[in-house]
Amino acid sequence: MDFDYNDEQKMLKQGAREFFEKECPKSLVKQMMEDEKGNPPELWKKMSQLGWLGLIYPEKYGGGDGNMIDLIALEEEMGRACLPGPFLSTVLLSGLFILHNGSEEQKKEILPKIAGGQLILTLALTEQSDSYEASAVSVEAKAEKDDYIIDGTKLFVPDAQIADYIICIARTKKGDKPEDGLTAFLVDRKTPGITITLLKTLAGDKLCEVVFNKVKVSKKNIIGKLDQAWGPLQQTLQQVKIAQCAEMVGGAQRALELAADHAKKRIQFDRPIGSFPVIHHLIANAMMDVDACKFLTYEAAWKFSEGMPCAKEIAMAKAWTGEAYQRTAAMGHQVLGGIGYTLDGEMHLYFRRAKSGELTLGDGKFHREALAKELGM
Amino acid sequence: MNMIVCIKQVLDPEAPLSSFKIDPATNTMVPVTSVPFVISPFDEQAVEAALKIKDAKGGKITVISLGVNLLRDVVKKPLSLGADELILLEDPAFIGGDSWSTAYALAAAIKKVGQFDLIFCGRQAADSDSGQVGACIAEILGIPQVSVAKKVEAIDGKVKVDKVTTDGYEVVEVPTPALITVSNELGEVRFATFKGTMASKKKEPIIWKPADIGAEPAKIGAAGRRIKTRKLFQPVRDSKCEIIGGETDEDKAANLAKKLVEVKLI
Amino acid sequence: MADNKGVMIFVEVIDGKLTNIAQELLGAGRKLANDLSEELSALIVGSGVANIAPEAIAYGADKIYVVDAPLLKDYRTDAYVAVVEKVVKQVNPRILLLGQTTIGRDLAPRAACRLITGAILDCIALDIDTATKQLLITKPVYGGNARAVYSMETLPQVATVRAKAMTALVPDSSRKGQVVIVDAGLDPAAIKTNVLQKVVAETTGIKLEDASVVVTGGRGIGGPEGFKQLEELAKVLKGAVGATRPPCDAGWAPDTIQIGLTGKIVSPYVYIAVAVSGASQHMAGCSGSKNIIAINRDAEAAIFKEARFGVVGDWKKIIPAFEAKVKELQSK
Repeated sequence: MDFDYNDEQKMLKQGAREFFEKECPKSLVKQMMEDEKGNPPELWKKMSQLGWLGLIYPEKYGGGDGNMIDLIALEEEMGRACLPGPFLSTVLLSGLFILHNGSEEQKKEILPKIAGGQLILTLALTEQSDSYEASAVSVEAKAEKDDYIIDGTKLFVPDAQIADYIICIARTKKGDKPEDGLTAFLVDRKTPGITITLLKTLAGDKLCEVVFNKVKVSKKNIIGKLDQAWGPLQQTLQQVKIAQCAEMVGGAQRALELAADHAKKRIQFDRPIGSFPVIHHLIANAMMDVDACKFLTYEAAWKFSEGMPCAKEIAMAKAWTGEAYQRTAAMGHQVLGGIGYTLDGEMHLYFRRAKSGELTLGDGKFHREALAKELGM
Repeated sequence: MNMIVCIKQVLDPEAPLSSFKIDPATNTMVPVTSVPFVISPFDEQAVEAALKIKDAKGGKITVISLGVNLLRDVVKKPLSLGADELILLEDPAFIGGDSWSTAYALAAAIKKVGQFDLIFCGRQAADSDSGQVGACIAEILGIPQVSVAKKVEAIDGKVKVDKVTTDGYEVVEVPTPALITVSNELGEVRFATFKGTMASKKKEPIIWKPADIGAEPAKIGAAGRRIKTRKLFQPVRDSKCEIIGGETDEDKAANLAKKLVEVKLI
Repeated sequence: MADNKGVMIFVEVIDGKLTNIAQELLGAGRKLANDLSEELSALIVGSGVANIAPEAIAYGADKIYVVDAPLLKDYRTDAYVAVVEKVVKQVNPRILLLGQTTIGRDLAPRAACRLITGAILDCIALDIDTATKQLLITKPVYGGNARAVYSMETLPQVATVRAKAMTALVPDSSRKGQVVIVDAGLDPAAIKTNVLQKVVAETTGIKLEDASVVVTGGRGIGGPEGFKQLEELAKVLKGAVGATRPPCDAGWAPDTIQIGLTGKIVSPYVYIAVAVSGASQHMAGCSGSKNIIAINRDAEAAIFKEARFGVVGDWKKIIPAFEAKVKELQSK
C-alpha cells in the first residue's frame, strides 16, 4: 500500500507551501481576522492564476481536471498557512454543488468565473440552531408565478458579506420527511430584501447572518431539481468535508511541529524542556492524533476519488479530525507555555481554527450519529 | 532557442543548523534529523532565467542534473515550471567529484544533447559554495561565459547580459552559444501552475550513465578530483550577548542607547 | 616542465591606485612567500596601469609583471584568461591569488581550468603545509555554516580571497622591486565579449564597505518604508544602511546594499542588525564587525549568539525610541 502522494502531488504541495509562506504570512492572517472582507484580493488573484481555484473543476469549465487527492494536497498547505478567504464557501460548497447539480448554462456561466477569481459565492444552509439536520431548515420559498419568494433568516453563512451570489437552501414544499421539499436557489446578492450582517467569530472566519425579506428569485435560478435539493446537497457536503479535514490535518501538523521545535529549543531547569518525559508523552500523543487524522482523511479522499462508497470514512475523518486538531493545538499551548499565550505567537491561530473546523459542516457528535447508523443502529 | 540548465539537488540550506553534523570520515555535513532535499536556490534562478527567455522567444529547455538518489519530486520541478526535458546523470561514478570532474561530466552530457544556444548555471551551489562549475563547463566547451547575471536578453546570435558588479552592474554582450551563471538579483522565481505541475507527469526523466556520454572514468566523480578536502569543521561561536531589558520596548530602546554611549560605541 | 616557484598576486586597480583587496592580497602573499622562502610577484593587467608598479612594490611585491594594452581596458573574460594563461606559463608561480571580486570570481575558475589545475574561491585563510609545501586553503561552505580546508597537487594552486580576510602591510616606499613588461599578445578577433555599459548605483552618503557604523534591516522590516526609518537612524549615527538578502529579493532595498555570503562584506566598528535572524549566509558578510547589536522580536533568533548587545522586542517601537534617545544624548 502506498500511502504517499505521487511526485506531481508532492510538487504541488511543496509549491503551495512555499507560495503561502511568501504570500500568506501570519501577519496577514492576523490582519484578515480583523478585516471585514477577509480575502486579500492579490492573494486570491494569484491563486486563480496558479489554477488553484479551478483545480477540482473539469477543463471545459475553466478548471484543471484535478482529483480529490490533488485537492487535499493543496488543502493541507492551506491549513498550515491558516489561509483566510472564501475557498471553502466559493470553490467547494458553491462550486461543487453547481458542478454536480447545475444546468449546463449555470455551469458555463459560473464555474469559469470562480476559477478565474472573478466571482465569490456562498451556500446558506444553517439557521438559528446551527444544525446540519434537514429539520433545521425553516426558511421558506413560496411560488409566485415564475418566481419564488424567499423569506427567513440564515445564520453562520460563510463569506456572505463578500459574496456575489448566495445559494439558499429553502423549503418549497412540506413533505413527509424534513429532507423532502428543499430547493437550492441561486440568489444574486444585489436582489432587494437581503440584509447581511457580519458576525465577530472566535477564529476570525467570516460568518454572517443573512436575512431574506421577501426576496424574489426567478425559478430559472433553481439549481438542480425543485424540492429535491437535500440528497445532492449531502453529496456535496460529503466531498467538501474531506477537503475540510485535509485543511485541518495541515493545521494540526504545523501545530505539532511548532510545539516540538519549541520543546527542543526552550531551556528551563537547566535542560531543554523537550527532554522531560511529560513533554515526550504530550508530543507523542499529538503525533498519534495527527497521523490518525491524516490517514482517515487520506482513506476517505482515495475512496471518494475511486468512486467507492465512503460515508463511513468521511464520518470518521470529520469526527476525529475536528477533535484531534483541538487536542493538538491545546497540547501546543501547554508546551509553549507563556510565550504561546500571547497573541504575538501562532499557536492560537491553530487553536481557533481547530474549533471552527470542528463545528463547520457538522461536529463530532453529528458524525458519531452518522457512524452509528452505518452499523445499523 | 535551445537552452540547457544545470541543477543540483542539495539538502535544504534553510534547515536549521542543528539539523546537521559533520561526518569526519567523509568530510561532509550529514543530516541528523530528516532534512528535505531541494534544488540549490541559485540553480532555481538559472531555471527562471531560461524560462524568461522561453517566454520571450520560445524554444526548448533541457535540464540536466548530476547526482544519486535524485528525488523525482525535487528534480522534476523545472518541468512543472515549463522546462521541456530532464536528463539525469544518475550513477555513483559521477558523484564525489569537485568542480572539474563534475563540469567534465556535465559538459560531456551537453555535447550529447547536441546543438544549444545558451547554458544556464547557478552562480554557486548551496552546499559547496564553490562557484566554478559554470566557468569550467564553458572552458571545456570553448564558449564565452558571463558570470553572476541579473538579467539576460537573447538577441539573434548574441546574448546581452546585465552582470552584477560591486557597485552596480555592467551590460555585456557575447555571441551564442554561451554560458551564463545566474544570481538572485535576477528576481523572484515563478510558482508552478496546477496544469504545469500535472503536465510534468508525461515527461519522464532520461537517465544517462558514464558510458552513455562517453565519459572517461578517470575524469569523472571522485576519480577525477583535483581538489582534496583536508578538513571540514564548524567555527566555534563564543560570544556572550548582553540583553538590554526594560519595561516596554521604548524603555529597552532608551536603555540600549544609554549603554552604547556608556561603552563608547556611539 | 619548469619547477613552479613563487607567489603571484593578480592585483586590481581603481582610480589609479591598488584596490583595498589588492593591498590585502599582497600582505597575505608576502607572508606565504616568506614561509616558502620564495618570491612574491604582482600581475597587473589593464590599460594605462603600469604606474601602479611602485605602489605594488611598496605593499610587498618583489617583482611586478605588467600587461598593458588598450584591449585590456575593460575586464573581458576571454582577453584576461588568455593573458593570465600566458603570464603563468612564462613565470610558473607555485601559487596564484586573486581577490574574490567581480573579476576574480569570473577569471579564476576559467584560468585554472585552462591551466589544468584547481582553484578555490572566496577563501578566508591561507597557510603553507610545511610537510608538502602545499597551500592549505580555508573557505566557508554550506552557506557559511561550516569551514572547509582544501589543498591540491596541481600547479599553480589558484585561490580567490575574500575582502577583509587578510591584512595589508604598512606600505614601505623604500622597498625595491623589478618591473617586467609582458606583451599581451592578443588577437582582437579572438575576443568575443563586448562591454556595452557600466552602471554604478547611486550611493548617497557613506559607502557601505567604508562605514564605521552599519544599520542593517532584515526580513522582519516588512517593506520599503521600514528602510527609510533605518536610513534616518544611520544618518544620526553617521553610518550606512545595509540589508540581508530577503529584503533585496523582495525589492524593499537595492541589491547593492545586500550584505552576505554573495553580497557585500563589511566589518564596521558597530553593526546594528534590525529584524535580522542571523542566518549564516548573512553573518558571512558581517561577522568581521567589531560590535554587533541585535534587535529582534524572537528571543531564540540566531543573531543573539553573534551579538554583543541585544534587545528582544518590536523594532517598530524600538528604533524610533532608540534614535530619539541617541539624539538626546548626543546633544548633551
